[in-house]
Amino acid sequence: MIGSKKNQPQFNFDKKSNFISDFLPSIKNEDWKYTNLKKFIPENTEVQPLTGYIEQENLDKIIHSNKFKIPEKNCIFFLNGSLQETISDIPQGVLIKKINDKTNNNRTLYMNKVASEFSADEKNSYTGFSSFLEKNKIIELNTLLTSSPYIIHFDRTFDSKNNIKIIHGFTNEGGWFNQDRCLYFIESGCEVYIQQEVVNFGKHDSVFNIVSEIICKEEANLNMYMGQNDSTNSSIINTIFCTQEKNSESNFNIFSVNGKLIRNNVLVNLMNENCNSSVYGTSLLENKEHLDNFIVISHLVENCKSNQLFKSVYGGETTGSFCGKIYVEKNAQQTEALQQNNNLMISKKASVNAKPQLEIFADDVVCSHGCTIGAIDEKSLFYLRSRGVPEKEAIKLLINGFLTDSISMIKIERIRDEVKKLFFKE
Amino acid sequence: MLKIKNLKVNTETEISILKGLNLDVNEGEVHAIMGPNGSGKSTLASVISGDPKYVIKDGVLEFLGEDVSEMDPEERAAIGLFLSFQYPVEIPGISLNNFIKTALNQKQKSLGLEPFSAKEILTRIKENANALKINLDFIKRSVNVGFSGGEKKRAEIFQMLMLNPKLSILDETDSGLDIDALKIVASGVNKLRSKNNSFIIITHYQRLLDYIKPDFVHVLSDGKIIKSGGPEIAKMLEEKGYDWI
Repeated sequence: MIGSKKNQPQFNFDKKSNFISDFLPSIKNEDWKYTNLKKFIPENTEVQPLTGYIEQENLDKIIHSNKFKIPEKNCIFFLNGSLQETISDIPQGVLIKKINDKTNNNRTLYMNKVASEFSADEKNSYTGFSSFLEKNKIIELNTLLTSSPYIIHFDRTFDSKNNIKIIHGFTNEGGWFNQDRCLYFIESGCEVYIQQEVVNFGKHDSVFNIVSEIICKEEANLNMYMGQNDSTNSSIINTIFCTQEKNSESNFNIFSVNGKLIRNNVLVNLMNENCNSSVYGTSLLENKEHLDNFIVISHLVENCKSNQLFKSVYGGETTGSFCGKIYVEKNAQQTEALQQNNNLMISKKASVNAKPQLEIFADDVVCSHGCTIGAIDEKSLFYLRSRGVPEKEAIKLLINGFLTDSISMIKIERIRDEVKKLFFKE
Repeated sequence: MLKIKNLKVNTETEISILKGLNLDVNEGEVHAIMGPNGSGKSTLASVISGDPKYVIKDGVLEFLGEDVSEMDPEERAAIGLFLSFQYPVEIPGISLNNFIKTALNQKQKSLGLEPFSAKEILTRIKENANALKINLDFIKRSVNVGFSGGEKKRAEIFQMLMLNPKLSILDETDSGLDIDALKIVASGVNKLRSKNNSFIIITHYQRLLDYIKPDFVHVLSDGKIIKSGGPEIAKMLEEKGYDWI
């Protein structure tokens, strides 16, 4: 039996009203203004920690299911929050262990504790996250309900050519609301490419609350690709907390294609000089999906760069929200922070709310933000059609063209091709 | 080939632009249309190509003996119409290369023909790019994005040569071109010119007509053709202006 019920945190699961009112954000919460989470979680929801236990028979079914092909190489497979070592293929330079911190109940992030083992910068790593944590109890809920958070440690012997696939799979044994938690520790000078996927192996609807904490040490280079294409029955709240030390670089690419609710929280702290962080989002939603991208990049010291680029196409009866924040601390001079959000509406019933936010306390910075919401350009459409491209094809071409620049930011050709296939169905 | 009779066209907002226009273009002919600003030249070009922005109120618009007034722009393109835009539209994210391949094969498809092979297309791209002194790297760039005025017009003529239309309408293709670019554009037109292919050339200047010799010159004013004749009309206009008529 993997995982056990004995060490569950103390939490009153009997009172459902507690769960809803204490932990789920209401739309009065500014961070959740355009996403009513309560609409996606039925009233009779049972909340309990995942045990991580799964019978061999069920595990075999998953391995051989047609729904999702588990890669043979460089794959780290979590099922119901528990590492499946027999299915995973963990390459040289990656060490995975459980975080044994049962006293963590009143703490919401593990990174402070872990960071203090490796560096003296303990106080710093929370700055920029604390106000978010206060307003978003959903992270605390994740801490409370995750049975076994893991630390995934990349050291210098890791070969960056081994692109890692991280799969968070669930069978929904725990009911509606499922959690998973990882902490990535990228050692100095390590270059890492990670593809993260969340897969619903269960039969019924589910909400997945995934939290990843990331520590990038000096000169580390992290690239994370997150594909959201599971099914219209899944809802996902995917949260990234990333802290970066001197000369480090992080790139996040989020691809949203399918799902009932998709909420991405990406919070990056640039804590030391010459850090670079880019967050890219690409989405093509055509049915009834709701997408909410929530980004906060905090420039805490001077000479760092950041870039946010979000391109979304909304069709059908989809709804969306983009909230991108650039925070520049008073002493963070010579900051260069860019933000761009373009929304293309291809249906009259689709809608989006965009909220760029800049909070700048330094006086010698380059910061920009741009936001557009528009329909297919009639002139462009006529131009393409006048050359013999039928209307439907022409619209498809224009959509592909619109989405191209965020997709072209993917550094690995194989992944870029995979993503192009996902979006362009080539 | 093209037959326009008493054509009356309004904008979507019901402003009358073409007020009973007549024009016949036969196979192999080159017609130049001149006229003051706002007389309806670009509207005529757009209406022939099927721009949904304009509403045909009355009259006949036939191409190759078929009524095309209610055809979609793509259907008109498939049977051999081409419009070189006065202001070519920038399309980010789609390379000229990919676009022309798509357009070519869509045209084949709607004619019920087999698509061209990649090799065939490449040969044609090379041949036409050479003729217009276009670098192959240029074709990999997004359609018209960041192109100079001259490059945009050259890209239009390149697409025209690739699509090999029966009737090409050039809407002020010469505007903003330097003399070398003008010669290149003209050579592209002359390359396609044959006893089967026809052209309508909309221009403000006699200069282009030195390189592309028209068979007829028409003067369009207030939505109607008020004078037609040979190339001598263009020369007179250049010297005396529109008041002369």
